[in-house]
Amino acid sequence: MTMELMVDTALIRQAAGVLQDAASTLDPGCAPVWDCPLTDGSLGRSAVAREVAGAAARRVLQACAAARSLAAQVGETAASLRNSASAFDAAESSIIAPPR
Amino acid sequence: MTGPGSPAAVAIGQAAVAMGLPNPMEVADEILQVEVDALQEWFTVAARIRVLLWQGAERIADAIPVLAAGWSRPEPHAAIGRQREAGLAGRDIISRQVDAADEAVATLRQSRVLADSELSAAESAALGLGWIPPEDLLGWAIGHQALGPVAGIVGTLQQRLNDLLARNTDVLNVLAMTLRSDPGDPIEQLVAPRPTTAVGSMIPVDPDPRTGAVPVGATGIDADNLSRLTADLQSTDIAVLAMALGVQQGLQEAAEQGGVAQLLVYESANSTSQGRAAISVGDVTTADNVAVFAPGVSSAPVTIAQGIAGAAGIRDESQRQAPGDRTAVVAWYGYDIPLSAIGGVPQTPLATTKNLVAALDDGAARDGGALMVDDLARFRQWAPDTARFIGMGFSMGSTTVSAAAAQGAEFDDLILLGSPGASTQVETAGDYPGMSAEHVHALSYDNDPITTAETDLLAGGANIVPRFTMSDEPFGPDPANQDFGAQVIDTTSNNPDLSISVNTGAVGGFLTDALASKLAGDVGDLMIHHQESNYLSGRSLEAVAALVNGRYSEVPIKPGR
Repeated sequence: MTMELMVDTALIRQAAGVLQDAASTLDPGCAPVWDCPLTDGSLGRSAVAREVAGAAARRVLQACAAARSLAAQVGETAASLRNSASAFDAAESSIIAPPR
Repeated sequence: MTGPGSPAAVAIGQAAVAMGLPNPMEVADEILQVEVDALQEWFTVAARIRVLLWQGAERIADAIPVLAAGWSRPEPHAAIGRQREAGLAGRDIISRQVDAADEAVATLRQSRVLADSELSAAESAALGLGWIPPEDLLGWAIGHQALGPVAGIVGTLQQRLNDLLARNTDVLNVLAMTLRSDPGDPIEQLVAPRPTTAVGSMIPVDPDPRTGAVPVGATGIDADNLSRLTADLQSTDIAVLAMALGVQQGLQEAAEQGGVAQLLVYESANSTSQGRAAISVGDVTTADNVAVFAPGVSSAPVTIAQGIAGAAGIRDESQRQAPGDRTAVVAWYGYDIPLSAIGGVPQTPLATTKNLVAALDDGAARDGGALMVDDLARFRQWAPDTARFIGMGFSMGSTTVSAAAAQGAEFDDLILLGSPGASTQVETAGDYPGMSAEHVHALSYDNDPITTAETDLLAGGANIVPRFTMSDEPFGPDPANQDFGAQVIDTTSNNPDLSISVNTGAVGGFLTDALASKLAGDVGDLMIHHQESNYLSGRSLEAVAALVNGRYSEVPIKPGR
């Protein structure tokens, strides 16, 4: 089975630019380890109060790390698209090169 | 009102206590001292990330039609679509957490205002009766036939403050539930779908045929230890080779049970030492929770494979309770375990004797605790910054873990199972540096004689050493004792009691028979109840796993002995 592949490298590069912009938007710019102002007894002495204080500290840092991770992945995708566009251009120019 | 520390409030509190009621000012303190601003400030960060994820996802969406127009195959824009969906899924989790935090902030703040108002109302009512602080309120009430009204004021205050505290607890419970989801999970799943052959590993590979270890990604944190193990497997020294073979078997067992096995500590055995080893079931480098488990007497690195089942059981239950969290459990055979010579590698007679005598006090636990401090510092370097570390041990292992915490091991929580004592380095649960007493947990079955002022001697060598009762506390204070101040876990032995009656047949031997029956009963209790597997099964295992996950509200607690 054959399948026709149609590419427009200008559009691929445009999509890569949009993704790069998305990556910049996603990067929270927060430090990997951020000091949580909540301490063990901040919310009270009960078991659930201690559980929340500990979990809150972790989850917000994990949220920050998640946004940073997604930003990195989207940035890599943008780079991959640019590379693909270049590869398509190179392939096309080699195919249509005049015979020696 | 000037708060629970004002003369009037103090007098009202004293009156309540004198009437046999709980002091309402303690409840007022609990409500008024909640750091609401800190909670709000922290979740402002999360709210900002929620916005970023939304904006980023929208921007990704803009790229999809452009790419679809520029590349006819569906895979590229489908992949970008998955990134967008993962971002939105993470945002949804954060959103629920932020909303619950906002609700908690509003309620906690309102409770503070209302508690203050209730205190003012109580003070005004008491003053309205003619009482002048700081005069003893109850004494004044008796002298002025105002006992009924004063009791009413105190009781009403108590009830209203308790209601406010219950509201706070309810809203914190809701927040705790939302915080059980990791907002990073959807995005992590996008990057690395879990391989079936090596859970947690980025590079699924077959175990090393010589060591049984499954290499972990590109980190290779245990590469040096694996090299030494590989070398020891060639050794002609019987002690060295025996331990290496035992550790190899442990690694194979851990890889089978946990997908990823890591040899975190490895020091060879020799004729005077059983060596040291620690194997992680699960990947320490990606774990949210890392539990370090120290075994009791008569265990030895050569038999570390026997301890892997317990470690894997803790990990399985922890992950069953919290499927989104990754847990690694380290079987830490890193101290000179008393009585380990019994089933361990061959040693010199002197070394064997020293090893047996080590069971008489907490010396080995204290020395081992120092080693654990260093090991833990290394484990922490390998683990994510946000990972929680839980120190737990059974029997003498609990004494060792406690001694480590007393010497500064950076645990977030301690769990002391079937403990003969918390080591002579602490007197109370408040003595661990950097850890509050609320994070020290003891689980001791009432019918486990080792935990009730008896020594640990029979734990592993009941058939070779005589019973030995110490009058002092050679292993330190009982962590399940009320005076120690730990959180005492409320579960019971998984095994039924054994009733043993001995008839010696001696004439007039009633006393002899009674003593023999008591001794036989105690030995029976020891063999039945003081077992690691008994502490790591049923509701006890559930409680331990809840603590590993930091879910304190799910752990049944009872007053100490």
